[in-house]
Amino acid sequence: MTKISLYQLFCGILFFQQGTTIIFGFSSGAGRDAWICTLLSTAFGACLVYLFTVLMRLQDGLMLTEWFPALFGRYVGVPIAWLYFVLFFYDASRIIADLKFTINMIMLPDTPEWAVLAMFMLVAVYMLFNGIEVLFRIAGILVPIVTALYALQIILLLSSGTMHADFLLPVAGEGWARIWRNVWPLSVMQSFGETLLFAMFWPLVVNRRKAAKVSVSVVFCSGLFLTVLNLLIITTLGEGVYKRSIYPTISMLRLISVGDFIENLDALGLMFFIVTTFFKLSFYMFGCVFAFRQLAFVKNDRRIIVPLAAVSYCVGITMSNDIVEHIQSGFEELQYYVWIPLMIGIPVLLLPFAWKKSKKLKEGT
Amino acid sequence: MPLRFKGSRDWKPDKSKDAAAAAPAQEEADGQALSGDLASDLATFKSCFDRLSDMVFREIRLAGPRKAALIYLDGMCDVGRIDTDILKALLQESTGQALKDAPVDAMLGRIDEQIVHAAQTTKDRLIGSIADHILGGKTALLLDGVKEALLIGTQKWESRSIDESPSEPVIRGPRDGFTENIRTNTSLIRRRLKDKNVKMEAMQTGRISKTQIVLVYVEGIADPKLVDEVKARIKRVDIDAVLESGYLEELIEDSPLTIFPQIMNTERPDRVAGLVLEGKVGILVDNTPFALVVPVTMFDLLEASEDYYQRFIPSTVTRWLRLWLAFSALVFPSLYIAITAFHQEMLPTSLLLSIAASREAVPFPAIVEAFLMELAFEGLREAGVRLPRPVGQAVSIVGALVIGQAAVQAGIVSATLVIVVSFTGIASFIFPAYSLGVAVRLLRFPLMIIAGTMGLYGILLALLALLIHLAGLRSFGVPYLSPVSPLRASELKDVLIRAPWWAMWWRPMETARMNPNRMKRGLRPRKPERKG
Repeated sequence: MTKISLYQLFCGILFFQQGTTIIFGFSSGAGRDAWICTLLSTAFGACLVYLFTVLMRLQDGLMLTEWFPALFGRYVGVPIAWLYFVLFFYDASRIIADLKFTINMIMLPDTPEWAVLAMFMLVAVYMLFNGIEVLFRIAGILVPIVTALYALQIILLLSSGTMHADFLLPVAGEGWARIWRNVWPLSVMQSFGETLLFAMFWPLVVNRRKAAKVSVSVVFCSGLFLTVLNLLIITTLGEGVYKRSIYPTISMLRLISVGDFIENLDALGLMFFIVTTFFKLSFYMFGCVFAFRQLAFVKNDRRIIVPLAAVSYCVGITMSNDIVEHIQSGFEELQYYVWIPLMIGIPVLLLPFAWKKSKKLKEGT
Repeated sequence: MPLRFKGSRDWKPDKSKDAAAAAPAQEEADGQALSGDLASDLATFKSCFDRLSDMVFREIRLAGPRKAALIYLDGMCDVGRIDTDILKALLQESTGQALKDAPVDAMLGRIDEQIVHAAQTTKDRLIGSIADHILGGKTALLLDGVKEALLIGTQKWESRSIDESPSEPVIRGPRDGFTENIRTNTSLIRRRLKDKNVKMEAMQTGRISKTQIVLVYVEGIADPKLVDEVKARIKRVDIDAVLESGYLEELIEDSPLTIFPQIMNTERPDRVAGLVLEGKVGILVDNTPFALVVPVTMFDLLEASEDYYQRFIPSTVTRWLRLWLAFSALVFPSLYIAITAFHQEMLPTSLLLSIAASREAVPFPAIVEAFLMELAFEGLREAGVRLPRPVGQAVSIVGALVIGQAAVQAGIVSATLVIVVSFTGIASFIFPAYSLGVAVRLLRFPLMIIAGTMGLYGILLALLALLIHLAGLRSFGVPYLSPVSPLRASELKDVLIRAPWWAMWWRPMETARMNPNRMKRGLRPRKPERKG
């Protein structure tokens, strides 16, 4: 029986929430006030994750796609559960599209993108065959290493003298409206709202009561990471570049120069990105596999790994024509039509039903 | 989960062919008991040991007069002892009192108790098992009219004396290494661990080789489930011969298709003793100086026994150095390829210029260049093991020239690459466990190919895949990367550092969960208070 320790859960969620944001920047629309934005959305995000954990506790031992059939019966519940499968599948493919543009633009300009993605997908498929436990385990190994490199990066930035604290001023100079526009819904949904995926894995954790606490606390931790990242980017690049740049982290790391020896560390940044993206993709793929196994009554989930990965590879590679279109669809349409209803709407609606049912169960016993 | 080939688990041998190969023609005689008639029994044995030129049948006449015979295998026995302790004793006694008025049934007992001067004797009735004992070096005494044979332990054969283990030398630490004689080997461990709870269970495997195997473990520390599992896996082995512990290693490991060793082999008795004290099981195999230890983690394989004998601060630093060099041995050549082929901008300008200058005359792309040199190096290494001693000098001179100066001057490879290759070469020999070193050395090559096609991105993904693989491996149920993953923070004291002995209170939980307490608390030496 798969069992995931609390430390591994912490590391897994942390990597998942850093995910692709680590390179695209977090609420960069708010310019120099992005860090305030991050702090606020961390607070809202924590509330949202708390909501998810309450639902999880009410539906003890069931995973996300089992919640709906359990509450609403087969005819209403199962179609809703399929919606989540589609959501996870779409998000997994979206990550592949993220990669498609990033790797080619920054690291391997001449390599065909299908090959770059195919290699990534192969490693992900290997991961899927090894099982969810191994994924959480390697998260436990890599989090300390990545954190150490992150600290190194901050030290190098500080010592190369490219930071200007006055880029942060004036604080909230453009008014709170701009900050608020970025907090809701974009920043709350991005990474924090997506944590709903872990409702698929919570039943595997050793101690579910503590798992809820860990899941909320990891939001604060990753909020802190992102705030520090935002502060670093703003103070090195300034508002103008930050708002315009697609890969602000990379632009920032390119400015590192210590003693004319340590230079051009964009590879380091890209390394963070590849690692965290790999985790995000793997978690989504595992979500798909678990959901599909449960909804389609597949006995051996090893059989569906390759077809699911192949389809999501094809969807991801044909999803959008260029990075601007890709990001636009993520920031606009997806927010209002997909993420908000599925990640906030349905869970909030679910709460009274779940509460009623668990009360009934308690009375019954 | 490890990959499996279809049907590999349930492969069944073809029974008819097997039996024919294993059993000699005299199979039906094996199950028979002795008849009691010396002449016919001797005839049975003679036909059983047909065409065995090293088998000796010695017929004698005791008091009574009663006929008797000794059967032994020349070369496996101490003939001097047979002469003095058995033959002389029997023949002199034949005129004495012990046998004179003894009834036939009690004679063998009298001989055993009063006449034969030997520490080890047993009695047996079955021809098959008597024959096995004789082949194992015991001397059989048959007595006319008695349906039992006395088996006397006279085994002795030529063996190498105890030497320093050539594969695991140390600066500080005991110098004795295992030999080919399993009895010597058990005594080397027994001399270190004298407690009665240190069990040495004997097993046997191999249809023709009849190899003796001894399991060493400490009862009360080792998990009984683990011991049972080891026994079950060894019992499952049904093979004609086990000539070296390597046979057994491949037959009992968890994932047969991985490049990483999941079982440790060592020539050092102190190493086995140390690991057995942590709740592991040692497997000694006769006729080889290499003992196996299960289960092991990757970090066990990265530790040398000397780490525990040197002071803890140098040992800690050595461990860091070892981890760092182990990692370099894996990725250094591929990093060179990736950076020179794809990411030149990562290097400082002056270094980039000097690398570019040294590569100017080289006609090959970086990956071909690196492959040429790495292959030459690996070839030199393998040749160095295999070559007859007198030519050693010649090969090392040629090697140094070819891989060094001449290759650079001829414009075949760049000087930078020679540095990379030689550094990697040194780094690849830092592994205390040769088997892990081999794995890393081999993995370097696929990594170089990936680096040559996908640059740093490829290296990173390949390392991720490697990590996934390692995190999924198990050695007798113990995760290969424990205690790092799954994390047991308190046990990192023996992985990331080597904690001082007075702080190593606990044995590793993964194997010694039953009895984790290693020492009394508060052993840390304190400054003596000054008197007066």
